[in-house]
Amino acid sequence: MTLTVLKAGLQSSIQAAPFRGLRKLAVPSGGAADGLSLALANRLVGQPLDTAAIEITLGPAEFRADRALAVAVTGAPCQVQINGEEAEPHQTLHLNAGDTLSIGRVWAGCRVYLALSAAIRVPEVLGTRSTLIGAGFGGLNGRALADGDVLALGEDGGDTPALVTPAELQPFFGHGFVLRVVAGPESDRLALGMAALARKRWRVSSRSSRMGLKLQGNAIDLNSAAPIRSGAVFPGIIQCPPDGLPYLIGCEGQTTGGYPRIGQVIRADRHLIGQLAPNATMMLVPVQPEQAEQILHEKLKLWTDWLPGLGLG
Amino acid sequence: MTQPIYCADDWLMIQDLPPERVAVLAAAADGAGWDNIVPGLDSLSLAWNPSERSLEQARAAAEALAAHVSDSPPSAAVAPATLHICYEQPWAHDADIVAELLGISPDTLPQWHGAQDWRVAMLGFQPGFAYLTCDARIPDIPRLADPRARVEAGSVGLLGQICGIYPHAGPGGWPIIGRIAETLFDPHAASPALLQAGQKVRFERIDANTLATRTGGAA
Repeated sequence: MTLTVLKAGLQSSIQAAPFRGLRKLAVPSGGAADGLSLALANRLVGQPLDTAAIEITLGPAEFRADRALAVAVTGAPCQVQINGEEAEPHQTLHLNAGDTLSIGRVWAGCRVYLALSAAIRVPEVLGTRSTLIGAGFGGLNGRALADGDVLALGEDGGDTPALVTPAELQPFFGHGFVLRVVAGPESDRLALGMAALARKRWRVSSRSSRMGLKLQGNAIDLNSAAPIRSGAVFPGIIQCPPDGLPYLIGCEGQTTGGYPRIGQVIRADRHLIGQLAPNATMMLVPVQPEQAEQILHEKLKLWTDWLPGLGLG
Repeated sequence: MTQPIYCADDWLMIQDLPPERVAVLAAAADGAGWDNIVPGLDSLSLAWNPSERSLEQARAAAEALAAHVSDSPPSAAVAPATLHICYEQPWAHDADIVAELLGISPDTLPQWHGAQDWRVAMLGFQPGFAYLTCDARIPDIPRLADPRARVEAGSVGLLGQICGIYPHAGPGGWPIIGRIAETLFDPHAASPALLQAGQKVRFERIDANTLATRTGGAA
């Protein structure tokens, strides 16, 4: 049983759970850039929440199944078609042998997730089937999918029940994002403090990838732009290089850095970084670490009945 | 004196640590339920899963860790690594510039480099990339003004006061003084990284022919 990649689009890759506990070896976390959308997709095809699926960047992309299987599309809103007929995201879709599934260009957000009722047969590397595109390992030969790739699939159990994500649990993505941040280790270098950060509006530049996103806007005023002694950075860290324009570390970003770390996107909002496309606007709203912890617990509680075991991270 | 600790919502960092202390605390933190333990040059970062421990518990654990006293040097736990290095051309692109900055002759650079007590301070930048430090006072060696489009896997560079080893071929801005025969990172190996933070490293000199044999003649 196979799935053929007819059109891979800008960047499609196999993504599942992150690489865990390997940051001391400088292995990035990686995994789905938007882990919540991955979990929602897998839920609809009856798979464990972090099962390997296809992450599609901006679209369009197209796939063909050689046997009947169930699929589901979540994440950034886009047109979904089966053999040219309209189909819905956020519900279980049944494909027949030879059917073509088309994902259109996204209307907002950045990444679409395509989950399958049959396992994608790529080897597990360092505990996951996710692709680290920058480092070049995991997933399908350590690379993004290309037109004509044929993915081997495991057996489909058949009879995948038809489900729909409850409307109130379907994330909404627009062109503007609010990310909550806690102060970073060097936030004392912000000449106007953390509160002033919230008054700025940022635009995501085209220099954006799973590794990180360069932001555009009015440069940040730092007391000192001197480099720091290299230390840990994590996904969601906001670095401030000497040009004063923030660099937001993505899920596949490097594990250490030498630029001042002025903020850290809170764990509850980190999955949204995967939905930031070039030209999206965003603002950073400071919160305290204790509030961030509370927000995470509340957010997890919201999804836990539908997505048991969801961890966001 | 209490050690300063930075705290985010799911990771924290014990700051202003002497290098040997980073390794001691990293070893002590191992197996204590942290999701990630990330040594920096003068810090140790610890990440946790908020579904498993609270911010308050994590902070308390880090405070206790920062006060941890150990008599045994951390490197005792990890066997020192020997890396076989070739200081000959074409693997030592920038040996002349580096020697000049060090105030020694290019001929004595291999001897100088091999004589230092190198220790892995941290891994960072890309999987398996090792940052080595030593006690010698090294002048601040600057990054290449024009980074190379391709640096071979195993290339050994000196930047600032750090000796860095590239695990993979790729672009790079570090001045290069040699190349090692060993593979630093293999994601398919049981133990993917050859080096780990806290480990002592000894460089053993080999000639270009030996390097070619050991790396399968890969250029």
